[in-house]
Amino acid sequence: MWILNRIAKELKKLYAGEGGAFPDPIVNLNWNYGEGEEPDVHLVAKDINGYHLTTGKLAASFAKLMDDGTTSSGNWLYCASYTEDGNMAARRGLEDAPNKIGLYPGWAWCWPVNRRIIYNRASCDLQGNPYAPNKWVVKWTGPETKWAGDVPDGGWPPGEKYSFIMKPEGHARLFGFGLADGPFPEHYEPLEAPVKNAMSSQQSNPTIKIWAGEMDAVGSPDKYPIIATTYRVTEHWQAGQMTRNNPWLVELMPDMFVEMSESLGKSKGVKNGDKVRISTARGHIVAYAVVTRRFKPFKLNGKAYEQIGLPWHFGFKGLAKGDSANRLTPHVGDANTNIPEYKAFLCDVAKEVG
Amino acid sequence: MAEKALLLDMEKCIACRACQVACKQWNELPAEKTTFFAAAGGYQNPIGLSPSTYTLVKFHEKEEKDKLKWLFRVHRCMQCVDPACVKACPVTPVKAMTHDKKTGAVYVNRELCIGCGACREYCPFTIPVIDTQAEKSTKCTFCFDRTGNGLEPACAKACPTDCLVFGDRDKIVQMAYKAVERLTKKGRQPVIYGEKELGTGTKKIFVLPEPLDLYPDLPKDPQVSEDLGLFHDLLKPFGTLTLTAALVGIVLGKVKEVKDKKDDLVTKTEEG
Repeated sequence: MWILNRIAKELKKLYAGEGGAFPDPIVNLNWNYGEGEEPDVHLVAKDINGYHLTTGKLAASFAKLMDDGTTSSGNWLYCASYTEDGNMAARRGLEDAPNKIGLYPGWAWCWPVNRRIIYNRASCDLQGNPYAPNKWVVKWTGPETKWAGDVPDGGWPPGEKYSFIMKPEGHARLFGFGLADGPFPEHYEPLEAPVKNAMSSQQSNPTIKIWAGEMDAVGSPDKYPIIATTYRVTEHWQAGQMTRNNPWLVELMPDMFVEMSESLGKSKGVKNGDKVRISTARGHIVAYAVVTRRFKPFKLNGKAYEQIGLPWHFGFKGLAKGDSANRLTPHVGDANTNIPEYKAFLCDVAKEVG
Repeated sequence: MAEKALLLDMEKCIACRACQVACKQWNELPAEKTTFFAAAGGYQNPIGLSPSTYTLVKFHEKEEKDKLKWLFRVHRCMQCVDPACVKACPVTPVKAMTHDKKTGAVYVNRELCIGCGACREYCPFTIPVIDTQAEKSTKCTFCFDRTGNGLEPACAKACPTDCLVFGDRDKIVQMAYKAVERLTKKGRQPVIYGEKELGTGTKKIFVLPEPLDLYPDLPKDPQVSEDLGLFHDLLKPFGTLTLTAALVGIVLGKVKEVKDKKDDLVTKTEEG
């Protein structure tokens, strides 16, 4: 926030002084977070909530926001989080809602409009009676008093609308629209697999995304007969930029390693603590060998296969350096989210010489 | 203050090593430069206790029906109820190895310590490590500077699984027996370590889910060396001012000489 505040102020100053092709949006940008070294976080939170611009009062809820330029809001979901009554997120009320299920509506604030459980009308039948009366979320108490409990997801009387108000048909979905595969479950082998798919004539998911660059080569089991997987260690976080620069964590987990079975170690002449070269169709890395009884070869279609395991986290900069498992993994993207097949791919290992 | 203790219910340990980091954080201990430690399967680091490591999770393994099980153990000062290190400490008139009246914790007073190593020599678990550069003994302080202010030790505070629990010793012993019950029902062979060891016990009460043989770094029957009296007798002629680490070293050597001779005699007698 400090960085953004400095950049915005500097840009406004530069555009005001030097002009440019179209300086107005920046010169006239509403940017008022105080004159101190640090931006005033309350002013930022208020801006996110929004104002009635004619009166200068904070907007009370998103229902009051207008599309005629008389209101502002940084994010409509957060409208009602900082009102004329104060910073709702700073509340510390210890009283539970009347349904006593632990909602504590006066403790802090949540979007939207402090509704603690979204789609909460789905907990009631079409008369507004809760399906589970002993742990009710909302219930209809009559045309005068309306809904009790959590902030209802839509205040209209029961029976008028289905509960999943953000879906056009008003119902929850078991199979969401727009997914590239489904709705029936199917087993596919990873793109790099040592075996034929025993469950289907379709070897791997036909809707995965495959790229064609130099780093996207696909390995075959005759050249890369060993299965590889990746995982994390407690001591490091993701690519390790933070944790591999924290001396206490580096002390605990200083080096990149690869875990393998005793049988694989024996066949490759690799002993515990040796340096090992792991190769895939994409590239190779070097890591310390953990030859352990925790890894065992396993059978697929009656034939035994070896598996190795590699942690993520390492890279070429930082207090603890090591080769990155990313150099090995395939870049195939899954059908819907493009998450790559980091958990199953093919490799070969050899003792690193020299 | 009632006598305090720390339960170490090792079945609950997931080896996250939060205790190791929390200990360094509270005691402002620097990180050690480590490398991949193959002997412990790459997961244990540092290798052992040191002047900048007062607590350490040790990794042991057990093969069971073709499956390998991790056995973790938190390694550090046992905080003996009747601490031999305090008896051994030759610094006078006030001992450097301090048995704190208020909290019951045993810790090194760095201002008084001369780094002679008598505490390590006579520790039944060989725990204190001598910082030879600073000439100080170093070990777990049982967080006397936290417990004296109503806080639990840093390791117990950080432990996410309640493997480490701080409380009144009698209650901690009860909890240990409950844990044994739980583990026995699961078909394990649990051991309580620290309740009665050395006669009066320790303030670190371990519940080990497996027999002691699987934790080779824990002495089966810890003993305080009986030549502690001889050590002090030999030191008697020296006054407070002349006491140095080097001198104590010579005396410890002398004790060892006498002991070896005695052992030699015993062996000879046995042979004869």
